[in-house]
Amino acid sequence: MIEFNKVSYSYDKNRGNAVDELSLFIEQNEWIALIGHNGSGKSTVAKLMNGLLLPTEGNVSVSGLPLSEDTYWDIRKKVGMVFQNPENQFVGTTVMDDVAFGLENLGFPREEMVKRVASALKEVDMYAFKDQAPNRLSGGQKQRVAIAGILAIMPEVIIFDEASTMLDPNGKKELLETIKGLRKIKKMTIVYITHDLSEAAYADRIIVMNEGKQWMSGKPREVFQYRDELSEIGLEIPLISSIYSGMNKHGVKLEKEPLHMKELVDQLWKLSSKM
Amino acid sequence: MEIVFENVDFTYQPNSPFSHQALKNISLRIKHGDYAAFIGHTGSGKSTLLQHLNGILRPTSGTVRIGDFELTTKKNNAIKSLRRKVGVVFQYPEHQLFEETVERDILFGPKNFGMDMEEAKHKLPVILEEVGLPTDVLQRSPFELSGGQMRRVAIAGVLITDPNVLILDEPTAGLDPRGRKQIMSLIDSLHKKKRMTIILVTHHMEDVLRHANQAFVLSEGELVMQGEPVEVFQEEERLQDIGLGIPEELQLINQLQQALGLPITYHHQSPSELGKDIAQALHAGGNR
Ligand SMILES: Nc1ncnc2c1ncn2[C@@H]1O[C@H](COP(=O)(O)OP(=O)(O)O)[C@@H](O)[C@H]1O
Ligand SMILES: Nc1ncnc2c1ncn2[C@@H]1O[C@H](COP(=O)(O)OP(=O)(O)O)[C@@H](O)[C@H]1O
Ligand SMILES: [Mg+2]
Ligand SMILES: [Mg+2]
Repeated sequence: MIEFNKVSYSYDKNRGNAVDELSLFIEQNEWIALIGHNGSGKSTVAKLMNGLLLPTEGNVSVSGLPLSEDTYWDIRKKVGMVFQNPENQFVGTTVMDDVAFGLENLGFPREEMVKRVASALKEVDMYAFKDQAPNRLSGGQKQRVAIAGILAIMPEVIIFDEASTMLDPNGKKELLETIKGLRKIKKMTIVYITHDLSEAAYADRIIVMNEGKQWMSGKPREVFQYRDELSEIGLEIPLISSIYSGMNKHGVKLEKEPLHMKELVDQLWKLSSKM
Repeated sequence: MEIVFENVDFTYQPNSPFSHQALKNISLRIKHGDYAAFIGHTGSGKSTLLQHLNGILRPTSGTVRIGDFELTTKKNNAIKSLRRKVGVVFQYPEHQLFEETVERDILFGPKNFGMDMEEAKHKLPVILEEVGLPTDVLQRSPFELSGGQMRRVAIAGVLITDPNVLILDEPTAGLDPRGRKQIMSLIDSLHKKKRMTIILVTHHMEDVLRHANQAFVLSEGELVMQGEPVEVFQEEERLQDIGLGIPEELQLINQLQQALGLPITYHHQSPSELGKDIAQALHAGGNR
């Protein structure tokens, strides 16, 4: 779906590469969490994925289409992006107008537009708010409207660039649940950028960035084995993983490494009923 | 400086169609040297309350007392000297860094307050050390710094006026785990070494549990709970009703107590120590 072949990008020749000879491959319908400390190159990678930036060296391709000056416009239609601050993403006076904005820009006929807007709002469960002013919504609701705006364009990939960072804990949960829900109803590749590893636990695979390079890639359970190494590059494994590693050192072995509290409690329950 | 709120109401744009009451009859007391944390979902009134602490907003009714200063509905001319004593680091302070160099940014407060500039400059190295920035950042542009460093510059700009109270509105929002830990331990050391009163707004419940000695819970502009963090977090259901969670380790302890009857308590142990406690409780249970 998305392929990077030795991609480098430099904002400033004097300061080295923000993305450095990066090669990666993301499959269709994969949910990738892209993690790394502040400044490790995540947003630069995101912008190279949707053609907001063109590589200084190397090649990017999206569903077989190589990224270049001639194709970046088409690639942007394939790869939608949701940003950190929902406020800055709003332009319309109602939720519906707002979702329609992207389509209008692309010159869609009115009838098709109305259909797409309605179905996108339903997909994120915000249809009931269609006539409201976006600035009256909660943070989580605003992000859902921003997602609807992207869904309406029907991209193949959605990138969430720290889209949960400014949300409170409820808003974060709401965002993750919305993505989970979307994945159930439609095929879609997700790139979820975060430095919160408990959010990354939801992904099929985690790609860890460090200093513009891919530092590791693997299933959440595999990546969370590297607690000390991750901490050296500024990251922290989820609390539940830390607690489990303490238990493990003191003789408690569970069938599978727990990623969430429920997985831990359920397995402990099973274990203790056998004891 | 003790901080006291007595029956404070605050309404934005009163007597207009947009009028909105953001604080409702708030009464509270924060003792000198406390580390107080304010929690509540977005829009519950946390930032509005903080802005009463250094006179950016004045109560619509009621009284706020900070040491000898009294803030009421009436204008108070001593507001500048209050602001020197009560330093506020706003949410996303990097949006408010605007000078050409870090040095000028840090010295903005002293200049604004008409302090002795030579003396303020003299203090720069000490302040930088306190916040953990190298002296060579002084001549750099604040925009070249990382997110965590920009937060430190903002904190330095407040510390240089030598406040007694330090207020931080979500100071770790958007920082990566390392940056967040570093800022939290910087605040801890200011609290302990300089005996500053700390007032923190955060969504990270585990930081409240680990660092604060008082927690205040706001919901829809009302102060609905207060007390030591461990006590406040015992009321999981009540917090859930107003859209808040408790720290994950306490959630786990509660569930293990309920589902498995494990006698585990929270005593500020680290996550891996908690894991050890759980392992031991399981083994003890199994041998019975
Ligand atoms: N517009 C820009 N101009 C110059 N340097 C930039 C710009 N955007 C990012 N950088 C630099 O590129 C590196 C990677 O940044 P970024 O991709 O934003 O990282 P992340 O999203 O992981 O925080 C950092 O060193 C950052 O300072
Ligand atoms: N300048 C303003 N004018 C009108 N209403 C405001 C203003 N600032 C905040 N509010 C409203 O006051 C309430 C409390 O806001 P705030 O104190 O910012 O909450 P918090 O910091 O807990 O998220 C919210 O409903 C918010 O919309
Ligand atoms: Mg970024
Ligand atoms: Mg606020």
